[in-house]
Amino acid sequence: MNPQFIIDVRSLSKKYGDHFAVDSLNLKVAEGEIFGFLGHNGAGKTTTVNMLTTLLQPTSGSALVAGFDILREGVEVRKRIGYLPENVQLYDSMSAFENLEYFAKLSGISKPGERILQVLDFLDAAGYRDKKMGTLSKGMRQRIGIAQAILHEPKVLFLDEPTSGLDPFGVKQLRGTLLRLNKESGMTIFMNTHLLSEVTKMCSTIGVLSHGKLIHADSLANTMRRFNDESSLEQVYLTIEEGRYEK
Amino acid sequence: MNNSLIIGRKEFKDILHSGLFLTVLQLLLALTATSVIVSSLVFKSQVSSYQSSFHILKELGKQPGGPEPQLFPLNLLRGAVDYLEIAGAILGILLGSLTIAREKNTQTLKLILTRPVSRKDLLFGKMLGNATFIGIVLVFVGLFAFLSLVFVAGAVLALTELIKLLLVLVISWIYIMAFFSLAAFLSLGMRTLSNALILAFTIWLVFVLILPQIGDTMDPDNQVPGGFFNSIHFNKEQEKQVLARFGSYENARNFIEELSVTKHYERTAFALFGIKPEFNGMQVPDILGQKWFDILVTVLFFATGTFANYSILNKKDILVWD
Repeated sequence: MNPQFIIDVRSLSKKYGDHFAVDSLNLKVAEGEIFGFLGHNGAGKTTTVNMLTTLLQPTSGSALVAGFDILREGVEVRKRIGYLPENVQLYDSMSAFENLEYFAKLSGISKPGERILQVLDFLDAAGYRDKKMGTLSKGMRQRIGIAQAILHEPKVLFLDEPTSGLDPFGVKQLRGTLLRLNKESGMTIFMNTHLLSEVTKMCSTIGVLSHGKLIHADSLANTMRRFNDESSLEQVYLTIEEGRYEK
Repeated sequence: MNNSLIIGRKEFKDILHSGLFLTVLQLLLALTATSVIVSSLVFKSQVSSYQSSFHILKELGKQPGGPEPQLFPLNLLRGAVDYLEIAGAILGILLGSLTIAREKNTQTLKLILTRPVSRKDLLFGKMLGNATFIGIVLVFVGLFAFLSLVFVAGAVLALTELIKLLLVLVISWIYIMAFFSLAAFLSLGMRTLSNALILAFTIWLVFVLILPQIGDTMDPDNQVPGGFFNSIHFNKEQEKQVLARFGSYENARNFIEELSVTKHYERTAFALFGIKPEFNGMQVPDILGQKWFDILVTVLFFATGTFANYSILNKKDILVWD
Protein backbone atom coordinates (compact mmCIF):
# COMPACT_ATOMS: atom_id res chain seq x y z
CA MET A 1 0.00 0.00 0.00
CA ASN A 2 1.16 3.47 -0.77
CA PRO A 3 -0.08 5.54 2.18
CA GLN A 4 -0.04 8.70 0.10
CA PHE A 5 -2.83 7.49 -2.13
CA ILE A 6 -6.09 6.51 -0.57
CA ILE A 7 -7.41 5.35 -3.93
CA ASP A 8 -5.04 3.52 -6.21
CA VAL A 9 -6.64 2.11 -9.36
CA ARG A 10 -4.62 -0.21 -11.59
CA SER A 11 -5.74 -1.12 -15.12
CA LEU A 12 -9.32 -1.46 -13.97
CA SER A 13 -11.77 -2.56 -16.66
CA LYS A 14 -15.42 -3.46 -16.84
CA LYS A 15 -16.81 -5.07 -19.95
CA TYR A 16 -20.48 -5.63 -20.79
CA GLY A 17 -20.64 -7.96 -23.77
CA ASP A 18 -18.29 -6.42 -26.34
CA HIS A 19 -18.47 -2.96 -24.83
CA PHE A 20 -15.93 -1.61 -22.34
CA ALA A 21 -17.77 0.59 -19.84
CA VAL A 22 -14.40 1.25 -18.16
CA ASP A 23 -11.22 0.54 -20.08
CA SER A 24 -7.85 0.02 -18.34
CA LEU A 25 -8.35 2.82 -15.87
CA ASN A 26 -5.29 3.95 -13.90
CA LEU A 27 -5.96 6.56 -11.28
CA LYS A 28 -4.54 7.74 -7.96
CA VAL A 29 -6.26 9.98 -5.43
CA ALA A 30 -4.31 11.37 -2.50
CA GLU A 31 -5.70 11.35 1.02
CA GLY A 32 -7.68 14.43 1.99
CA GLU A 33 -8.43 15.52 -1.58
CA ILE A 34 -11.75 16.41 -3.10
CA PHE A 35 -11.56 14.64 -6.43
CA GLY A 36 -13.95 15.61 -9.21
CA PHE A 37 -14.60 12.82 -11.67
CA LEU A 38 -15.92 14.36 -14.87
CA GLY A 39 -17.33 12.85 -18.01
CA HIS A 40 -20.28 12.85 -20.34
CA ASN A 41 -23.32 10.61 -19.75
CA GLY A 42 -22.35 6.97 -20.15
CA ALA A 43 -18.63 7.73 -19.84
CA GLY A 44 -18.25 5.09 -17.12
CA LYS A 45 -18.11 7.26 -14.00
CA THR A 46 -20.83 5.39 -12.11
CA THR A 47 -19.43 2.02 -13.17
CA THR A 48 -16.05 3.09 -11.78
CA VAL A 49 -17.60 4.12 -8.46
CA ASN A 50 -19.61 0.89 -8.34
CA MET A 51 -16.41 -1.09 -8.69
CA LEU A 52 -14.50 0.99 -6.14
CA THR A 53 -17.32 0.58 -3.63
CA THR A 54 -17.29 -3.22 -4.24
CA LEU A 55 -20.78 -3.25 -5.73
CA LEU A 56 -19.55 -4.45 -9.12
CA GLN A 57 -16.99 -7.06 -9.98
CA PRO A 58 -14.33 -5.70 -12.38
CA THR A 59 -13.65 -7.68 -15.54
CA SER A 60 -9.94 -7.16 -15.03
CA GLY A 61 -7.49 -5.02 -13.09
CA SER A 62 -7.54 -4.11 -9.44
CA ALA A 63 -7.76 -1.21 -7.04
CA LEU A 64 -6.84 -0.38 -3.49
CA VAL A 65 -9.21 1.77 -1.48
CA ALA A 66 -7.93 2.93 1.93
CA GLY A 67 -5.18 0.36 1.51
CA PHE A 68 -7.45 -2.63 0.91
CA ASP A 69 -8.03 -4.60 -2.26
CA ILE A 70 -11.55 -4.20 -3.63
CA LEU A 71 -11.55 -7.78 -4.89
CA ARG A 72 -10.14 -9.70 -1.96
CA GLU A 73 -10.89 -7.42 1.01
CA GLY A 74 -14.36 -6.13 0.22
CA VAL A 75 -15.53 -6.02 3.83
CA GLU A 76 -12.46 -4.04 4.94
CA VAL A 77 -12.98 -1.59 2.06
CA ARG A 78 -16.64 -1.16 2.97
CA LYS A 79 -15.79 -0.42 6.60
CA ARG A 80 -13.77 2.57 5.41
CA ILE A 81 -16.03 4.09 2.76
CA GLY A 82 -19.26 6.03 2.68
CA TYR A 83 -21.43 6.15 -0.41
CA LEU A 84 -24.31 8.23 -1.66
CA PRO A 85 -25.71 7.11 -5.04
CA GLU A 86 -27.55 9.45 -7.37
CA ASN A 87 -31.24 9.90 -6.51
CA VAL A 88 -31.22 7.63 -3.50
CA GLN A 89 -34.57 7.61 -1.70
CA LEU A 90 -33.85 6.03 1.72
CA TYR A 91 -36.90 4.62 3.49
CA ASP A 92 -39.84 6.99 3.15
CA SER A 93 -41.95 5.42 5.90
CA MET A 94 -39.18 5.76 8.47
CA SER A 95 -38.01 8.93 10.19
CA ALA A 96 -34.62 10.42 9.43
CA PHE A 97 -33.36 9.12 12.79
CA GLU A 98 -34.68 5.59 12.15
CA ASN A 99 -33.04 5.55 8.72
CA LEU A 100 -29.72 6.63 10.21
CA GLU A 101 -30.04 4.17 13.08
CA TYR A 102 -30.54 1.30 10.64
CA PHE A 103 -27.46 2.17 8.58
CA ALA A 104 -25.44 2.87 11.72
CA LYS A 105 -26.21 -0.61 13.02
CA LEU A 106 -25.27 -2.15 9.67
CA SER A 107 -21.99 -0.24 9.93
CA GLY A 108 -21.31 -1.87 13.28
CA ILE A 109 -21.99 1.17 15.49
CA SER A 110 -23.48 -0.50 18.56
CA LYS A 111 -24.95 2.58 20.31
CA PRO A 112 -25.64 4.91 17.42
CA GLY A 113 -27.90 7.50 19.08
CA GLU A 114 -25.20 9.92 20.16
CA ARG A 115 -23.30 9.69 16.86
CA ILE A 116 -26.48 10.29 14.85
CA LEU A 117 -27.26 13.45 16.78
CA GLN A 118 -23.68 14.64 16.34
CA VAL A 119 -23.85 14.11 12.57
CA LEU A 120 -27.29 15.71 12.29
CA ASP A 121 -25.97 18.72 14.21
CA PHE A 122 -22.99 18.95 11.90
CA LEU A 123 -25.31 18.95 8.89
CA ASP A 124 -27.74 21.46 10.45
CA ALA A 125 -30.45 18.83 10.22
CA ALA A 126 -31.11 18.09 13.91
CA GLY A 127 -34.61 19.61 13.66
CA TYR A 128 -35.58 16.97 11.12
CA ARG A 129 -34.61 13.88 13.09
CA ASP A 130 -38.19 12.76 13.73
CA LYS A 131 -39.62 13.72 10.34
CA LYS A 132 -40.54 10.92 7.98
CA MET A 133 -38.20 10.81 5.00
CA GLY A 134 -41.15 10.93 2.63
CA THR A 135 -42.08 14.39 3.90
CA LEU A 136 -38.63 15.99 3.48
CA SER A 137 -37.52 18.27 0.65
CA LYS A 138 -35.01 17.02 -1.90
CA GLY A 139 -32.26 19.12 -0.33
CA MET A 140 -32.95 17.83 3.17
CA ARG A 141 -33.15 14.23 1.93
CA GLN A 142 -29.76 14.72 0.33
CA ARG A 143 -28.39 15.95 3.65
CA ILE A 144 -29.76 12.89 5.45
CA GLY A 145 -28.23 10.83 2.65
CA ILE A 146 -24.84 12.43 3.38
CA ALA A 147 -25.43 11.76 7.08
CA GLN A 148 -25.90 8.03 6.49
CA ALA A 149 -22.71 8.00 4.43
CA ILE A 150 -20.52 9.63 7.08
CA LEU A 151 -21.99 8.11 10.27
CA HIS A 152 -19.19 5.58 10.64
CA GLU A 153 -16.50 8.20 9.92
CA PRO A 154 -15.27 6.72 6.65
CA LYS A 155 -11.91 7.60 5.15
CA VAL A 156 -13.36 8.04 1.67
CA LEU A 157 -16.73 9.40 0.72
CA PHE A 158 -18.04 8.46 -2.75
CA LEU A 159 -20.73 10.73 -4.15
CA ASP A 160 -22.51 10.15 -7.44
CA GLU A 161 -23.92 13.38 -8.88
CA PRO A 162 -24.68 14.74 -5.40
CA THR A 163 -26.18 17.99 -6.68
CA SER A 164 -28.53 16.32 -9.15
CA GLY A 165 -32.04 17.72 -8.79
CA LEU A 166 -31.11 20.33 -6.18
CA ASP A 167 -32.05 23.99 -6.52
CA PRO A 168 -29.24 26.60 -6.43
CA PHE A 169 -29.76 27.12 -2.70
CA GLY A 170 -29.53 23.38 -2.06
CA VAL A 171 -26.40 23.14 -4.22
CA LYS A 172 -24.77 25.95 -2.27
CA GLN A 173 -25.64 24.35 1.08
CA LEU A 174 -24.36 20.95 0.00
CA ARG A 175 -21.14 22.48 -1.27
CA GLY A 176 -20.61 24.21 2.08
CA THR A 177 -21.27 20.98 3.94
CA LEU A 178 -18.83 18.94 1.86
CA LEU A 179 -16.08 21.55 2.08
CA ARG A 180 -16.53 21.70 5.86
CA LEU A 181 -16.48 17.93 6.10
CA ASN A 182 -13.28 17.73 4.10
CA LYS A 183 -11.64 20.52 6.07
CA GLU A 184 -12.66 19.40 9.56
CA SER A 185 -12.28 15.64 9.26
CA GLY A 186 -9.80 15.36 6.41
CA MET A 187 -12.17 12.97 4.67
CA THR A 188 -11.30 12.26 1.04
CA ILE A 189 -14.24 12.96 -1.26
CA PHE A 190 -14.56 11.27 -4.65
CA MET A 191 -17.33 12.98 -6.56
CA ASN A 192 -18.89 12.12 -9.91
CA THR A 193 -20.36 15.25 -11.37
CA HIS A 194 -21.54 17.09 -14.42
CA LEU A 195 -21.52 20.50 -12.82
CA LEU A 196 -18.26 22.16 -13.77
CA SER A 197 -19.05 25.22 -11.70
CA GLU A 198 -19.14 23.04 -8.59
CA VAL A 199 -15.86 21.39 -9.53
CA THR A 200 -14.23 24.81 -9.75
CA LYS A 201 -15.51 25.75 -6.32
CA MET A 202 -14.77 22.50 -4.54
CA CYS A 203 -12.30 20.12 -6.13
CA SER A 204 -8.56 20.07 -5.69
CA THR A 205 -8.01 17.44 -8.38
CA ILE A 206 -9.99 16.36 -11.41
CA GLY A 207 -10.11 13.38 -13.70
CA VAL A 208 -11.88 13.29 -17.05
CA LEU A 209 -13.31 10.03 -18.27
CA SER A 210 -14.48 9.60 -21.84
CA HIS A 211 -15.87 6.37 -23.26
CA GLY A 212 -14.41 4.41 -20.38
CA LYS A 213 -10.90 5.82 -20.70
CA LEU A 214 -9.24 8.33 -18.44
CA ILE A 215 -8.12 11.12 -20.72
CA HIS A 216 -6.96 13.62 -18.14
CA ALA A 217 -6.05 13.65 -14.45
CA ASP A 218 -4.32 16.48 -12.64
CA SER A 219 -4.81 19.11 -9.98
CA LEU A 220 -7.36 21.74 -10.87
CA ALA A 221 -4.69 24.45 -10.64
CA ASN A 222 -2.35 22.60 -13.02
CA THR A 223 -5.19 21.89 -15.40
CA MET A 224 -6.19 25.54 -15.58
CA ARG A 225 -2.53 26.54 -16.06
CA ARG A 226 -2.02 24.00 -18.81
CA PHE A 227 -5.00 25.27 -20.74
CA ASN A 228 -4.42 28.92 -19.98
CA ASP A 229 -5.85 29.97 -23.30
CA GLU A 230 -9.28 28.86 -22.15
CA SER A 231 -11.45 31.21 -20.15
CA SER A 232 -13.29 28.67 -17.98
CA LEU A 233 -13.24 25.08 -16.81
CA GLU A 234 -16.08 24.42 -19.23
CA GLN A 235 -13.83 25.43 -22.13
CA VAL A 236 -10.99 23.34 -20.69
CA TYR A 237 -13.27 20.33 -20.34
CA LEU A 238 -14.51 20.65 -23.91
CA THR A 239 -10.95 21.03 -25.20
CA ILE A 240 -9.89 17.88 -23.35
CA GLU A 241 -12.87 15.92 -24.65
CA GLU A 242 -12.45 17.18 -28.19
CA GLY A 243 -8.75 16.36 -28.05
CA ARG A 244 -9.59 12.80 -27.35
CA TYR A 245 -11.96 12.62 -30.26
CA GLU A 246 -9.19 13.90 -32.58
CA LYS A 247 -7.06 10.95 -31.50
CA MET B 1 -26.27 -7.38 16.59
CA ASN B 2 -25.82 -9.75 13.69
CA ASN B 3 -26.46 -8.10 10.30
CA SER B 4 -29.02 -10.74 9.27
CA LEU B 5 -30.98 -9.99 12.43
CA ILE B 6 -30.84 -6.22 11.83
CA ILE B 7 -32.08 -6.65 8.24
CA GLY B 8 -34.65 -9.28 9.27
CA ARG B 9 -36.09 -7.10 12.01
CA LYS B 10 -36.47 -4.15 9.68
CA GLU B 11 -38.02 -6.33 6.98
CA PHE B 12 -40.57 -7.67 9.45
CA LYS B 13 -41.45 -4.17 10.69
CA ASP B 14 -41.84 -2.95 7.10
CA ILE B 15 -44.31 -5.72 6.30
CA LEU B 16 -46.30 -4.97 9.45
CA HIS B 17 -46.41 -1.25 8.66
CA SER B 18 -47.36 -1.86 5.04
CA GLY B 19 -50.82 -3.05 6.06
CA LEU B 20 -50.20 -6.37 4.34
CA PHE B 21 -50.24 -8.17 7.67
CA LEU B 22 -53.80 -7.23 8.53
CA THR B 23 -55.10 -7.79 5.01
CA VAL B 24 -53.54 -11.24 4.67
CA LEU B 25 -54.51 -12.22 8.18
CA GLN B 26 -58.12 -11.17 7.74
CA LEU B 27 -58.33 -13.00 4.41
CA LEU B 28 -56.86 -16.25 5.71
CA LEU B 29 -58.91 -16.18 8.93
CA ALA B 30 -62.09 -15.57 6.95
CA LEU B 31 -61.22 -18.49 4.65
CA THR B 32 -60.44 -20.77 7.60
CA ALA B 33 -63.72 -19.87 9.28
CA THR B 34 -65.59 -20.40 6.02
CA SER B 35 -63.98 -23.82 5.65
CA VAL B 36 -64.98 -24.92 9.16
CA ILE B 37 -68.50 -23.47 8.95
CA VAL B 38 -69.24 -25.00 5.53
CA SER B 39 -67.77 -28.39 6.48
CA SER B 40 -69.68 -28.41 9.79
CA LEU B 41 -72.93 -27.68 7.99
CA VAL B 42 -72.25 -30.47 5.49
CA PHE B 43 -71.44 -32.88 8.31
CA LYS B 44 -74.54 -31.89 10.26
CA SER B 45 -76.69 -32.42 7.19
CA GLN B 46 -75.10 -35.87 6.71
CA VAL B 47 -75.91 -36.76 10.33
CA SER B 48 -79.46 -35.48 10.08
CA SER B 49 -79.96 -37.31 6.76
CA TYR B 50 -78.62 -40.50 8.37
CA GLN B 51 -80.91 -40.07 11.36
CA SER B 52 -84.02 -39.45 9.28
CA SER B 53 -83.22 -42.52 7.10
CA PHE B 54 -82.62 -44.49 10.31
CA HIS B 55 -86.10 -43.57 11.66
CA ILE B 56 -87.83 -44.27 8.34
CA LEU B 57 -86.24 -47.72 8.16
CA LYS B 58 -87.17 -48.43 11.80
CA GLU B 59 -90.78 -47.39 11.16
CA LEU B 60 -90.84 -49.72 8.16
CA GLY B 61 -89.70 -52.47 10.51
CA LYS B 62 -86.32 -52.87 8.81
CA GLN B 63 -82.93 -53.14 10.48
CA PRO B 64 -80.88 -50.08 9.49
CA GLY B 65 -77.40 -50.92 8.20
CA GLY B 66 -74.25 -48.80 8.07
CA PRO B 67 -72.72 -46.77 10.85
CA GLU B 68 -73.66 -43.22 11.76
CA PRO B 69 -71.32 -40.65 10.17
CA GLN B 70 -68.44 -40.08 12.54
CA LEU B 71 -66.91 -36.66 13.07
CA PHE B 72 -63.17 -36.42 12.48
CA PRO B 73 -62.68 -32.75 13.40
CA LEU B 74 -59.57 -32.18 11.28
CA ASN B 75 -61.55 -33.27 8.20
CA LEU B 76 -63.39 -29.98 8.56
CA LEU B 77 -60.19 -28.12 7.65
CA ARG B 78 -60.00 -29.52 4.11
CA GLY B 79 -61.16 -26.21 2.66
CA ALA B 80 -58.56 -24.32 4.69
CA VAL B 81 -55.82 -26.41 3.03
CA ASP B 82 -57.33 -25.70 -0.40
CA TYR B 83 -57.32 -21.98 0.36
CA LEU B 84 -53.83 -22.02 1.83
CA GLU B 85 -52.34 -23.75 -1.19
CA ILE B 86 -53.69 -21.02 -3.46
CA ALA B 87 -53.58 -17.89 -1.28
CA GLY B 88 -50.40 -18.97 0.51
CA ALA B 89 -48.54 -19.34 -2.77
CA ILE B 90 -49.72 -15.86 -3.83
CA LEU B 91 -48.57 -14.43 -0.50
CA GLY B 92 -45.15 -16.07 -0.95
CA ILE B 93 -44.84 -14.71 -4.50
CA LEU B 94 -45.77 -11.16 -3.50
CA LEU B 95 -43.39 -11.08 -0.55
CA GLY B 96 -40.56 -12.70 -2.50
CA SER B 97 -40.93 -10.45 -5.53
CA LEU B 98 -40.86 -7.26 -3.52
CA THR B 99 -38.31 -8.05 -0.85
CA ILE B 100 -35.15 -7.14 -2.77
CA ALA B 101 -36.62 -5.61 -5.95
CA ARG B 102 -38.11 -2.76 -3.88
CA GLU B 103 -34.68 -1.90 -2.49
CA LYS B 104 -33.17 -2.15 -5.95
CA ASN B 105 -35.64 0.45 -7.23
CA THR B 106 -35.00 2.93 -4.42
CA GLN B 107 -31.23 2.32 -4.52
CA THR B 108 -31.18 1.56 -0.79
CA LEU B 109 -29.73 -1.81 -1.77
CA LYS B 110 -26.56 0.01 -2.83
CA LEU B 111 -26.40 1.64 0.58
CA ILE B 112 -26.75 -1.70 2.36
CA LEU B 113 -24.17 -3.42 0.17
CA THR B 114 -21.59 -0.69 0.67
CA ARG B 115 -21.70 -1.42 4.41
CA PRO B 116 -19.76 -4.30 5.90
CA VAL B 117 -22.71 -6.55 5.07
CA SER B 118 -22.26 -9.76 3.10
CA ARG B 119 -24.75 -10.85 0.48
CA LYS B 120 -25.42 -13.91 2.62
CA ASP B 121 -26.41 -11.56 5.50
CA LEU B 122 -28.74 -9.73 3.12
CA LEU B 123 -30.42 -12.90 1.86
CA PHE B 124 -30.83 -14.51 5.26
CA GLY B 125 -31.98 -11.24 6.81
CA LYS B 126 -34.66 -10.84 4.16
CA MET B 127 -35.69 -14.48 4.53
CA LEU B 128 -35.77 -14.19 8.31
CA GLY B 129 -38.10 -11.19 8.27
CA ASN B 130 -40.48 -12.76 5.78
CA ALA B 131 -40.34 -16.21 7.37
CA THR B 132 -41.23 -14.67 10.74
CA PHE B 133 -44.15 -12.82 9.19
CA ILE B 134 -45.45 -15.94 7.43
CA GLY B 135 -44.93 -17.97 10.61
CA ILE B 136 -46.94 -15.51 12.69
CA VAL B 137 -49.76 -15.45 10.13
CA LEU B 138 -49.87 -19.26 10.22
CA VAL B 139 -49.89 -19.34 14.02
CA PHE B 140 -52.94 -17.07 13.93
CA VAL B 141 -54.56 -19.29 11.27
CA GLY B 142 -53.84 -22.38 13.38
CA LEU B 143 -55.27 -20.79 16.53
CA PHE B 144 -58.32 -19.62 14.66
CA ALA B 145 -58.82 -23.05 13.10
CA PHE B 146 -58.63 -24.60 16.57
CA LEU B 147 -61.12 -22.11 18.02
CA SER B 148 -63.46 -22.56 15.04
CA LEU B 149 -63.39 -26.34 15.47
CA VAL B 150 -64.15 -26.03 19.17
CA PHE B 151 -66.74 -23.27 19.09
CA VAL B 152 -68.33 -23.61 15.64
CA ALA B 153 -68.18 -27.36 15.09
CA GLY B 154 -68.33 -28.25 18.79
CA ALA B 155 -65.40 -30.62 18.35
CA VAL B 156 -62.99 -31.77 21.04
CA LEU B 157 -59.44 -32.15 19.80
CA ALA B 158 -57.15 -34.83 21.18
CA LEU B 159 -53.43 -34.18 21.62
CA THR B 160 -52.63 -36.21 18.48
CA GLU B 161 -54.94 -34.00 16.46
CA LEU B 162 -53.29 -30.88 17.82
CA ILE B 163 -49.90 -32.30 16.80
CA LYS B 164 -51.25 -33.03 13.32
CA LEU B 165 -52.58 -29.46 13.07
CA LEU B 166 -49.17 -28.14 14.12
CA LEU B 167 -47.40 -30.31 11.52
CA VAL B 168 -49.70 -29.03 8.78
CA LEU B 169 -48.82 -25.47 9.81
CA VAL B 170 -45.10 -26.32 9.60
CA ILE B 171 -45.44 -27.88 6.13
CA SER B 172 -47.59 -24.89 5.06
CA TRP B 173 -44.81 -22.55 6.21
CA ILE B 174 -42.26 -24.47 4.10
CA TYR B 175 -44.64 -24.45 1.13
CA ILE B 176 -45.20 -20.66 1.28
CA MET B 177 -41.48 -20.02 1.81
CA ALA B 178 -40.78 -22.14 -1.28
CA PHE B 179 -42.85 -19.74 -3.38
CA PHE B 180 -41.18 -16.82 -1.62
CA SER B 181 -37.76 -18.17 -2.68
CA LEU B 182 -38.91 -18.77 -6.24
CA ALA B 183 -40.27 -15.23 -6.59
CA ALA B 184 -37.19 -13.67 -4.97
CA PHE B 185 -35.00 -15.60 -7.39
CA LEU B 186 -37.00 -14.41 -10.40
CA SER B 187 -36.98 -10.79 -9.25
CA LEU B 188 -33.21 -10.96 -8.79
CA GLY B 189 -32.55 -12.64 -12.10
CA MET B 190 -34.83 -10.55 -14.32
CA ARG B 191 -34.31 -6.95 -15.30
CA THR B 192 -37.78 -5.73 -14.42
CA LEU B 193 -40.06 -6.53 -11.55
CA SER B 194 -43.06 -6.70 -13.87
CA ASN B 195 -41.45 -9.46 -15.96
CA ALA B 196 -40.52 -11.36 -12.80
CA LEU B 197 -44.09 -11.08 -11.50
CA ILE B 198 -45.58 -12.22 -14.82
CA LEU B 199 -43.32 -15.29 -14.85
CA ALA B 200 -43.96 -16.04 -11.17
CA PHE B 201 -47.72 -15.91 -11.65
CA THR B 202 -47.50 -18.04 -14.80
CA ILE B 203 -45.65 -20.68 -12.76
CA TRP B 204 -48.27 -20.30 -10.03
CA LEU B 205 -51.07 -20.75 -12.56
CA VAL B 206 -49.52 -23.91 -14.03
CA PHE B 207 -48.26 -25.59 -10.86
CA VAL B 208 -50.84 -24.45 -8.30
CA LEU B 209 -54.00 -24.42 -10.38
CA ILE B 210 -53.75 -26.20 -13.72
CA LEU B 211 -51.71 -29.35 -13.01
CA PRO B 212 -53.54 -30.29 -9.78
CA GLN B 213 -56.84 -29.55 -11.52
CA ILE B 214 -55.94 -31.88 -14.40
CA GLY B 215 -54.98 -34.57 -11.88
CA ASP B 216 -58.24 -34.12 -9.96
CA THR B 217 -60.32 -34.17 -13.13
CA MET B 218 -58.65 -37.38 -14.27
CA ASP B 219 -59.28 -39.07 -10.90
CA PRO B 220 -62.27 -41.44 -11.39
CA ASP B 221 -63.08 -41.19 -7.68
CA ASN B 222 -63.69 -37.45 -8.08
CA GLN B 223 -66.44 -37.87 -10.70
CA VAL B 224 -69.20 -38.20 -8.08
CA PRO B 225 -69.51 -36.03 -4.95
CA GLY B 226 -68.47 -38.07 -1.93
CA GLY B 227 -66.38 -40.38 -4.11
CA PHE B 228 -67.35 -42.65 -7.00
CA PHE B 229 -66.27 -45.88 -5.30
CA ASN B 230 -67.94 -44.89 -2.07
CA SER B 231 -71.19 -44.25 -3.93
CA ILE B 232 -71.21 -47.80 -5.30
CA HIS B 233 -70.15 -49.16 -1.88
CA PHE B 234 -66.74 -50.43 -3.01
CA ASN B 235 -64.17 -50.80 -0.28
CA LYS B 236 -60.51 -49.82 -0.67
CA GLU B 237 -59.49 -53.31 -1.81
CA GLN B 238 -62.16 -53.41 -4.51
CA GLU B 239 -61.22 -49.90 -5.59
CA LYS B 240 -57.60 -51.00 -5.99
CA GLN B 241 -58.64 -54.00 -8.06
CA VAL B 242 -60.63 -51.80 -10.43
CA LEU B 243 -57.87 -49.20 -10.75
CA ALA B 244 -55.30 -51.95 -11.40
CA ARG B 245 -57.02 -52.46 -14.74
CA PHE B 246 -56.22 -48.86 -15.65
CA GLY B 247 -52.55 -48.91 -14.61
CA SER B 248 -51.16 -46.71 -17.40
CA TYR B 249 -53.94 -44.17 -16.98
CA GLU B 250 -53.34 -43.99 -13.23
CA ASN B 251 -49.58 -43.65 -13.74
CA ALA B 252 -50.10 -40.79 -16.20
CA ARG B 253 -52.48 -39.07 -13.78
CA ASN B 254 -50.08 -39.52 -10.89
CA PHE B 255 -47.17 -38.20 -12.98
CA ILE B 256 -49.07 -35.02 -13.83
CA GLU B 257 -49.98 -34.49 -10.18
CA GLU B 258 -46.41 -35.09 -9.01
CA LEU B 259 -45.12 -32.30 -11.24
CA SER B 260 -46.86 -29.88 -8.91
CA VAL B 261 -45.36 -29.01 -5.53
CA THR B 262 -48.86 -27.92 -4.52
CA LYS B 263 -50.09 -31.49 -4.92
CA HIS B 264 -47.26 -32.80 -2.75
CA TYR B 265 -48.14 -30.24 -0.09
CA GLU B 266 -51.83 -31.09 -0.39
CA ARG B 267 -51.21 -34.83 -0.12
CA THR B 268 -49.22 -34.33 3.09
CA ALA B 269 -51.78 -31.95 4.61
CA PHE B 270 -54.73 -34.13 3.58
CA ALA B 271 -53.07 -37.22 5.06
CA LEU B 272 -52.42 -35.45 8.37
CA PHE B 273 -55.98 -34.13 8.46
CA GLY B 274 -57.32 -37.56 7.51
CA ILE B 275 -59.22 -36.30 4.48
CA LYS B 276 -58.60 -39.69 2.84
CA PRO B 277 -60.36 -42.14 5.19
CA GLU B 278 -57.42 -44.56 5.31
CA PHE B 279 -55.40 -41.97 7.25
CA ASN B 280 -58.06 -41.40 9.91
CA GLY B 281 -56.87 -42.76 13.21
CA MET B 282 -53.38 -43.42 11.84
CA GLN B 283 -50.50 -42.41 14.10
CA VAL B 284 -48.41 -39.38 13.16
CA PRO B 285 -45.12 -41.28 12.53
CA ASP B 286 -46.97 -43.72 10.23
CA ILE B 287 -48.49 -40.86 8.22
CA LEU B 288 -45.12 -39.12 7.95
CA GLY B 289 -43.56 -42.43 6.92
CA GLN B 290 -46.11 -42.87 4.15
CA LYS B 291 -45.85 -39.29 2.99
CA TRP B 292 -42.07 -38.86 3.22
CA PHE B 293 -41.69 -38.35 -0.52
CA ASP B 294 -44.29 -35.56 -0.64
CA ILE B 295 -42.66 -33.87 2.36
CA LEU B 296 -39.23 -34.25 0.77
CA VAL B 297 -40.35 -32.67 -2.52
CA THR B 298 -41.82 -29.66 -0.67
CA VAL B 299 -38.68 -29.21 1.42
CA LEU B 300 -36.44 -29.67 -1.65
CA PHE B 301 -38.38 -27.01 -3.55
CA PHE B 302 -37.73 -24.56 -0.71
CA ALA B 303 -34.08 -25.59 -0.33
CA THR B 304 -33.44 -25.31 -4.08
CA GLY B 305 -35.03 -21.86 -4.16
CA THR B 306 -32.88 -20.71 -1.25
CA PHE B 307 -29.72 -22.06 -2.84
CA ALA B 308 -30.62 -20.46 -6.19
CA ASN B 309 -31.07 -17.11 -4.46
CA TYR B 310 -27.74 -17.47 -2.69
CA SER B 311 -25.99 -18.30 -5.97
CA ILE B 312 -27.52 -15.47 -7.93
CA LEU B 313 -26.83 -12.94 -5.16
CA ASN B 314 -23.17 -13.85 -5.25
CA LYS B 315 -23.00 -12.93 -8.92
CA LYS B 316 -22.06 -9.36 -8.04
CA ASP B 317 -23.43 -7.61 -11.10
CA ILE B 318 -26.95 -8.82 -10.48
CA LEU B 319 -27.77 -6.08 -8.00
CA VAL B 320 -26.34 -3.06 -9.75
CA TRP B 321 -27.71 -1.79 -13.00
CA ASP B 322 -26.31 1.33 -14.60
